[in-house]
Amino acid sequence: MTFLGLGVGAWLLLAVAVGLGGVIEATFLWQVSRRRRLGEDDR
Amino acid sequence: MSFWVYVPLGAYLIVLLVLGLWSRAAGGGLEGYYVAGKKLPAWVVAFSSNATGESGWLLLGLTGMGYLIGVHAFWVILGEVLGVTLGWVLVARPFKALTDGYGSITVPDYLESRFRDDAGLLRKIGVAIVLSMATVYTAAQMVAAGKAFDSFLATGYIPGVLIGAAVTLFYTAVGGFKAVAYSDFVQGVLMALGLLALPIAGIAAAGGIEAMFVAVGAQDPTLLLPMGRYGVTFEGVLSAVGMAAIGLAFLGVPQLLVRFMAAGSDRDLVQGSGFAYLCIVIFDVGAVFTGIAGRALYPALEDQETVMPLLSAELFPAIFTGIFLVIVLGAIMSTVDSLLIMSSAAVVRDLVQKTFGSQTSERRLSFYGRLTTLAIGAIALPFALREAKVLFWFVLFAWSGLGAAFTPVVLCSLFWSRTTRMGAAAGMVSGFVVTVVWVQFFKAQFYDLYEMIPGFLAGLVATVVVSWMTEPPEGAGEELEAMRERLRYGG
Repeated sequence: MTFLGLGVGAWLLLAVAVGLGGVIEATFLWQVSRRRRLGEDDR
Repeated sequence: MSFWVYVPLGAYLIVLLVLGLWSRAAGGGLEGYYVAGKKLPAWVVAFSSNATGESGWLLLGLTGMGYLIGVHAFWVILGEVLGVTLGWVLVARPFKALTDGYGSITVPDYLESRFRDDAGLLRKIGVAIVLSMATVYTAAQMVAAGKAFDSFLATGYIPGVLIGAAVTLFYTAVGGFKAVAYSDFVQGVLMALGLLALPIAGIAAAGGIEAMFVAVGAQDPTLLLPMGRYGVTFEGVLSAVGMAAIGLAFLGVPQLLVRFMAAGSDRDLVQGSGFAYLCIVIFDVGAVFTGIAGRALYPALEDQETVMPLLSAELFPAIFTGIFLVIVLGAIMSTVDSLLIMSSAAVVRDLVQKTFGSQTSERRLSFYGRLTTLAIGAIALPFALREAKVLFWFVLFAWSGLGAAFTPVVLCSLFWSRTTRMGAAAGMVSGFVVTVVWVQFFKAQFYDLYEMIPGFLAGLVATVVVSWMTEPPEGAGEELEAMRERLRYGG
């Protein structure tokens, strides 16, 4: 049984290929903004 | 050929020439000419670095790969998206902070300062590698320009190479890095738009996404498998890892690092990382799906690298043929201009000014820089004119030669204070030599394993082992710690 003509493994690979970078990027942006807020509070 | 095909091409060439002239005012010195005065905004750095990293290979090579191996090409997406993201998240800000502190405008500048290399050993090694690889890379891209002009406009191969080279050389020589970066931005945006439009049109023409995959699976069911025709075998794993390894070089090739250096501020690099991630996702997913859609629509292409021009000609009105030619040229030129300016910096900054100790004024040196840009283009040109059979593996070879030589050393230099000058030298030489030797003597016997993997590993092992055996530069630990502390609270 396939979803839109493609197997689960292929969709999973595509999701990881695109999503893993997205998660890393989002975490990075969140971390930088948090540290900046902390830095501003310290000052 | 319809007149309307030439309209977008003419407009594009005029924009490039205007950008070249506009950028002349970037400043008279070498910092103005080679890093645009370190004032580039986030969006320019992001699109410019991806457009530079990708080249004509993205539009012709990766679409062809999607056509030839189907879903197995998703591994390239994984590697490149991760490579670009990690490059921006891990490398960009520390590299920018250190190079600003040193006043560096080239990667060899940075290595020399970071490792207190008074004898200039790393600079000489760096220049040799940059010049050899950039010439191969530039020649291959000029070939691609010739083929693009010929296949879209039937200009003939040699006139195509000459037109592409003349325009690129003009705006690069005249405008310097600022013209290169802004033209790369324009070219990167065009590439992204093209790689959004093409797969959407292709999938629609194939009857929707399910019909497309069904049609491709009917031709060859292995085209829909993540491990392709190899299955889960040793060979399949090596093939997947090899494709993903293409992304490794995004962490440390000099033509991308110089963009981080040229960013206006640390804040620009934080903002730019989001643009860069989105851009690479559109580039890669768009290119692979264009290839897969092309396979569903035209199953019997003799040369899979013609799938993108074919789809653009078949699925869009005539005026779009011109637009897609512009997009292909944009991908090619955005890489050639970056290689030319990097090579010019290697000669003028690294050799003439720093190695030979020339006392010539910076204004005059930047004039020599323009002449050197023209000279390097002139050296690559005969290779392109003579050798029409240069294939995209040349691009991947040069990409991995630069990647294996610089990436392990740059990563160690940023994250391991114990890295030494001799470790860096050993890493650069080993990475480069193993890449070349692997291609020449071993690749064919080892499942065609992509040279980036042995080259990168050799560079990393040599850097670490030799660094352990030698003394680290004085004060390196404190310097890296101070840099991290600065970045911790916003640079």
